Amino acid sequence: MLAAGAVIALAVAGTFVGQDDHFPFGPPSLFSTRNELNGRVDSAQLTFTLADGTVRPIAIDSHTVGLRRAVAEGLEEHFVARPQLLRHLADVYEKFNPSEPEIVAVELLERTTDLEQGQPVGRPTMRALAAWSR
Amino acid sequence: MVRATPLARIAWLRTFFYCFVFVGVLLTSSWVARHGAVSTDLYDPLLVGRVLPLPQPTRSVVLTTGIVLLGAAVIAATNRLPRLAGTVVAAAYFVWMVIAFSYGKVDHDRFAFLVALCVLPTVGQAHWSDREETEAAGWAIRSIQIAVVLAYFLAAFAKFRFGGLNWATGATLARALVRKGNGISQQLFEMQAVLRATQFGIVAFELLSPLLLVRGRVGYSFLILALLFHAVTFSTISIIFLPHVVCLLAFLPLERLSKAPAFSPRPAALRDRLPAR
Repeated sequence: MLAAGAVIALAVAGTFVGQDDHFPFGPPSLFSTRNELNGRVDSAQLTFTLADGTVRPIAIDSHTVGLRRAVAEGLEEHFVARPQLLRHLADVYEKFNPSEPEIVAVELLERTTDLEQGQPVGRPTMRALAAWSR
Repeated sequence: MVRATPLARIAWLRTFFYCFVFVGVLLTSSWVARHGAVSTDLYDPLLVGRVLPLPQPTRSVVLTTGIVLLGAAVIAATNRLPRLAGTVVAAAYFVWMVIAFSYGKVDHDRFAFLVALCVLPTVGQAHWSDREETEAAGWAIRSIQIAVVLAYFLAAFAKFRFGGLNWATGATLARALVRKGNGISQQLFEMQAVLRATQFGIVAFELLSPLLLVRGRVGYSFLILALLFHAVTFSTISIIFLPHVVCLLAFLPLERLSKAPAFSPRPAALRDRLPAR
């Protein structure tokens, strides 16, 4: 019973003062942030430049670069601070797709959709966050 | 507070949960294994990963962890060596979760499942046809149920903490639809009142979730509501909190599955009930 009480206490404490780092006692914060009705929605995008000059948009997924999109977004600050880390995404892609041309550059972009009264309006805009090239 | 419960329910829960470990590792969360292909330069361990002497998740470490986890789960799912195999599963799954969530994102659907993996080994031997009722089984099942309720209930307070008391008036669902919506859900943008009402409904559902612990019709009704909630979430934004949903099995009288002839009492138990010669 003592152990049960401790687990409950830690879960409650984590909800009010914890962070994700305190897993499994971090706050259950999925979808907990509030977005403004007239705000914006961001999502990460990737492009690879191949050795033949082709620029290819890449869906960020564990099947392509080894990381889910939300995970890559969680690492955004790291990629912005150290763009050379983007090469690791290229490395994984090449590992999963050995028959494709070599990747010579990676660009991490932010796709922004504006909201008006909770509805998307206009065309999404793209902004470069970080870039790496061989 | 703890009612004696048939050991058969524990046996069935073990089978379902440990089989689900396979489903998670190989199918629904196979992305964890692919972290082995990612450079450890991107590994940013959780607090527990920094405190415990866990190795960096190289390809071989991830593979070894997965093999140990699945090997123990096979044994545990058959209710053999429940304490040993179950404990190995719990420990290996925890390491698997550190590998999963040490790359910039933590999922929030594992708390109840982790509790389940920790309490299931505490009950000892159980068979699918065991009609004996024990407090140990009752305690384990109640613990999983309370963990499920805590996950829902505390989520409301996380919304108040990070989104404010007026979380339900915002555009959180709209954001989710922009990022992950499908053809069906895109039509919901035209129904802003529905989105807002749904957000209020989500908070109400979470705050009322302790009703799941009420035995009888009230608890079962709320269980159906919980299943509907997850079905709607999956159909609109393709998100399903599968490890958490699996834990809802702890609210069901799974021992009734044992009425099938294949699960009639073991020969030894039958021998015990026959009159001695």
